[in-house]
Amino acid sequence: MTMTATDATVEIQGLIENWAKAARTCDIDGIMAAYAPDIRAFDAISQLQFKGAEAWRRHWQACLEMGSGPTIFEVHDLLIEAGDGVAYGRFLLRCGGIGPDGKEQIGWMRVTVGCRRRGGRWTIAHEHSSAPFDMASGKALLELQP
Amino acid sequence: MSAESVNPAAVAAIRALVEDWAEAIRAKDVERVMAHHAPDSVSFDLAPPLISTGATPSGVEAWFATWRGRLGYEIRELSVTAGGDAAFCRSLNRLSGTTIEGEKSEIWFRRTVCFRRMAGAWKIVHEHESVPFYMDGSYRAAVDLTP
Repeated sequence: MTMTATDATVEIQGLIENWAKAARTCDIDGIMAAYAPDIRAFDAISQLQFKGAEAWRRHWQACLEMGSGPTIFEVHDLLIEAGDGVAYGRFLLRCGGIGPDGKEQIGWMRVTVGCRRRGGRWTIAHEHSSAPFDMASGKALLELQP
Repeated sequence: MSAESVNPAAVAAIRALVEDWAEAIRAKDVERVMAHHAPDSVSFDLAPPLISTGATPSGVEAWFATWRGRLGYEIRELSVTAGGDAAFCRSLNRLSGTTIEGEKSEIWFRRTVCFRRMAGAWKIVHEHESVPFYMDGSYRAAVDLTP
C-alpha cells in the first residue's frame, strides 16, 4: 500500500495527540506507545540525552511523579512534514500543573520530533524538548510567550 | 536500520551538508552557511526568543562579529535518518572560541536539524539547539555538561 504525505501527516498528528493526552492523564504506557524502542531523546531537563525506551521511560516516570494534581500539557502550532517513511514535526508545548494555591504553574517549551514508519506504523525515533536560556544570568527562560 | 525508510544516498548527502555547514561556521563564512538554509527555515535557538523564523545573512554576520578569529565546532554522535524528501539528524555539538571581549568560551549542546529536498537539493527547514536546565530549584542552564 502506498501512503501519501497527507495520510502520513494525519497519522503523525494522531500519534502526537494521543501522546499528549496520555501525558495529561499520567498514562506512562500511553506515552511510551508513541516511541520507537531505540528512541534517542534530548529532554528539557537534567541531562544531555536519554538512550533507548527503557531509560526514557524511567525519566518520564520521574517527571510524572514530580507533579501533583491536574497536568497541563497542550500542543500548539504543530507543523508536520512527512516523506516516504521519514517525517519530522515541531510544536510549542504549554506544560505544567496546578499548584497547591490553585494557580497554574506553567512554562512554554519548544519540541521537535523525528519520526519513522516501521512495520506499517509511525513512531517517534527522536525527540528534542527545550527552553531557551538567558545568556547573561544563565537561567532557563520558562515564561516566554509565543 | 530497516531499509524501508532509510535512503543511503540521502543519508550521505545530509552528512556532507552537515559537515560543510560546520566548516562554514568554523570559517565564519556567512554565504556558505546561508546556502544550506531554506528561506523560511524556523529555529529554536539556545538564546531567546522561543521561536525564530528565517535566518538572515545580517543576523548570522552579527553573531560571527561577536567572536575573534576562527570558531571551533565539533560534532559528535551524528545520526541521520533520511527518506526521499524528508530527513532529520541529531548530534551533540561543541562550540568554542574567543569572544571579542577576549573571553574564552566553550559549550556542549544538543542539535537537531530537519531537512527537505527542494528542487533536487537538501535544505535546512528547521533547527533546534539547546542545553537542558537543572530541576534543583535553580532553573540554571546546564552549560557544563559533556558527552
